[in-house]
Amino acid sequence: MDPLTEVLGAEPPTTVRALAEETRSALAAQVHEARRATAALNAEAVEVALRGVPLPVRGLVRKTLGA
Amino acid sequence: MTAQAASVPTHPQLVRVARLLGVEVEQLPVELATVPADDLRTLHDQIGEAIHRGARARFAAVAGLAAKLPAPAAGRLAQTFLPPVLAARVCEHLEPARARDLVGRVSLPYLADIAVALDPVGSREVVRAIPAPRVGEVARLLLERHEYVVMAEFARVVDEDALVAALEAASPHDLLCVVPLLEWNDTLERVVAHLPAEQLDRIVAELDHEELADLALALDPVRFGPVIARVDEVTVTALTRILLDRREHAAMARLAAVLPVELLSATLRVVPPDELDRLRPLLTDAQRELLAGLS
Repeated sequence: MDPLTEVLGAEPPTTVRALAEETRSALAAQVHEARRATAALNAEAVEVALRGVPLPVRGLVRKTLGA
Repeated sequence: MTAQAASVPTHPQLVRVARLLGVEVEQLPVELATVPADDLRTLHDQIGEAIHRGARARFAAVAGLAAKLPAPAAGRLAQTFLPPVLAARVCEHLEPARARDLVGRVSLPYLADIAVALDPVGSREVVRAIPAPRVGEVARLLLERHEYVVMAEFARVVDEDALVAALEAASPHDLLCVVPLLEWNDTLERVVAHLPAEQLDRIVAELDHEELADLALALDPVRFGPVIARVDEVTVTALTRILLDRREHAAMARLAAVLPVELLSATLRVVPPDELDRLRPLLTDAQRELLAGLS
């Protein structure tokens, strides 16, 4: 499968699909990297947020957030 | 043209894609610049979905928590612990009424940071729930930061009162940068047609002739009537010369449509014969009759 379609989980517009394979691969790599960075930011934000939650309810909040 | 006007992004959707990916526009594959704007917007939204796909449930859970807490506490906690990029995603899951409560509980810079990261179309209902005065305050800050692309994206979804508030925050030089990025719709047409007199006066006072020509072209000269109504013969003549120098004969003909007869007569008198020959086929019958009467 085209690496860009794979990382997007959907077919990009026709004009994007028509770009050179090298371009689509480079873009797919940038999307992968952005996903990784955002996931890290997300996890860090949840951990930081949990530190601000009173200890007795921290477990409940952690469960709610799926952290 | 001023330095500010020169900073208008040539391809605003590329700016949005780059921001979402956390890279500079120059780091994007060069060939991406050949993709039409509408397709880049679709790609932008697909990338946004892909980046946050795994966290959707978590964003919804945070929004659920925010709904259960008292608004002051929710606002304080969000600003303290939730980075704006993630807060923007949580916003997509908020009830509009709750969002309306919360926007007054967080600082303006935080709200502006969220606005930069927000997908205004995906969060349309939340965005439209924000009171117009608050939209105006955020717009002022975004304009100070030269976030013209963000402003233009929001202009697509906000209601008329909010759009009025946002555009009232714009200086004439801000308008020069934002207007070329706008997608015209009925709401925008109405708001631009009824810009406050004070703002129109500032446009005439603060923009030089070249900049006024830039704005006329960006707006489309047919929307330039309210500004034209405030300028003198010297300015109209200067605008005419600039448009003709730029080979913008079609735009000149469209400007002629909003010129009062006396100003049109005055400006046609100074148009060189060879330029008149180019202009004549683009004029209306009535304008051609006027032109014939001058010679």
